[in-house]
Amino acid sequence: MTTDRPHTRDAHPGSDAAWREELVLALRARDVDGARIGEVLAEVDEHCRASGEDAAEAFGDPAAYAAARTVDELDPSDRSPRRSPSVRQAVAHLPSLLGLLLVVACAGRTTVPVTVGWLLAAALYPVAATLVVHVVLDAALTGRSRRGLVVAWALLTATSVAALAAVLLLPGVLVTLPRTVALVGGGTLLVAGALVATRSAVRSPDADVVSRPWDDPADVRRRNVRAGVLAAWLLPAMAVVGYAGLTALDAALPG
Amino acid sequence: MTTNPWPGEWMRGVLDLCVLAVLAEGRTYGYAVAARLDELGLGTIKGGTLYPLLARLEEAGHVTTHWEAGDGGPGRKYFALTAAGRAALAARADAWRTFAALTTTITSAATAPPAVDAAVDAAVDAAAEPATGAPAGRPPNPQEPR
Repeated sequence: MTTDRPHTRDAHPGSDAAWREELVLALRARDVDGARIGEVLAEVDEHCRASGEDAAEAFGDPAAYAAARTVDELDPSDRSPRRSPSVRQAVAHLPSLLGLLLVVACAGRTTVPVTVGWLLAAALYPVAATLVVHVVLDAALTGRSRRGLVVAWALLTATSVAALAAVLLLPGVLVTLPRTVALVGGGTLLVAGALVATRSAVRSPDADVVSRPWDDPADVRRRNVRAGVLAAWLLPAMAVVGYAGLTALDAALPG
Repeated sequence: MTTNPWPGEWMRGVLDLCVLAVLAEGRTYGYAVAARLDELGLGTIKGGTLYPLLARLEEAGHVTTHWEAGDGGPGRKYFALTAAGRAALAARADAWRTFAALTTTITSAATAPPAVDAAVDAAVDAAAEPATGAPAGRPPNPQEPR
């Protein structure tokens, strides 16, 4: 009945990839799950392949298309709660974050002074990370993803400046830990947090990766578990890299 | 490539009905629906308009969908009319025909010449006929009896 046109999508791979990223962000901001996002993307890909158009030409603004795909399809009472992290969820990672800071603080030291400023700095980052995710998703809702990223970078920079100020201005030492105690304590916090998160990822994977309609459900579950486990061990990995990097820097610096 | 020969507000009123009618021809996929509508004279229907409409039809139970995986690659989504979709198509098509006939009657009456002007035109034509009795503009035929 119809002769599909040879696709020209390969002529615009960069713009199509950027368009698709914007669409995924806009759909995530509207609490659409990974399977549904995958289906919408598959429709876009299929139509562009058949018509020879690029995504922007065929589907217009990605944020507007995401709104059109969700406004009539989801009853407000059926919408799931916002999938972006809450401050409470971010604060739940505070023990692991403290563990990271303890391990990294051991680099090049024989003792680790735990100060008020240091603890305040540690508490700022989960709050900042939550705000950053909300800013990025809210910007995606209105098709201003790039502006959202700029604001996110500004937020992270401001948080780092505030954390540094806290460390410098609040030097009161609460406790001084021997290096071994700090390393073991910090490592324990990190590993315990990672093990709890790993167990949760394996038993009830909620990573919600984007999947295509024809994907094998068992494979999708494996990918969700893998994503959850990777996220669980992110902070321990950062601790190892941070400790190694600072130790090497300390060894390289004169005196 | 055709564009859009019809006003947008007209298209918004009839597009779902026309999509149902195309699906009544047989199970098919998204781009094929757009191409068929273009072939039938409705103009270019963009994916950004078509797929939300198809999704609403699916939500309403008028259409079912089925993904068929490609050979080791991306799949294709097929749409098919349900029994409820056929019933909706029949009902709305009937209503549309009534509505179209109504608007044709209204607009024909508004754009046709008034009856008094037609009478005046007929009188002018009759006065302009020559004494030979032949209609004005036609030379007398020597063969015709007077």
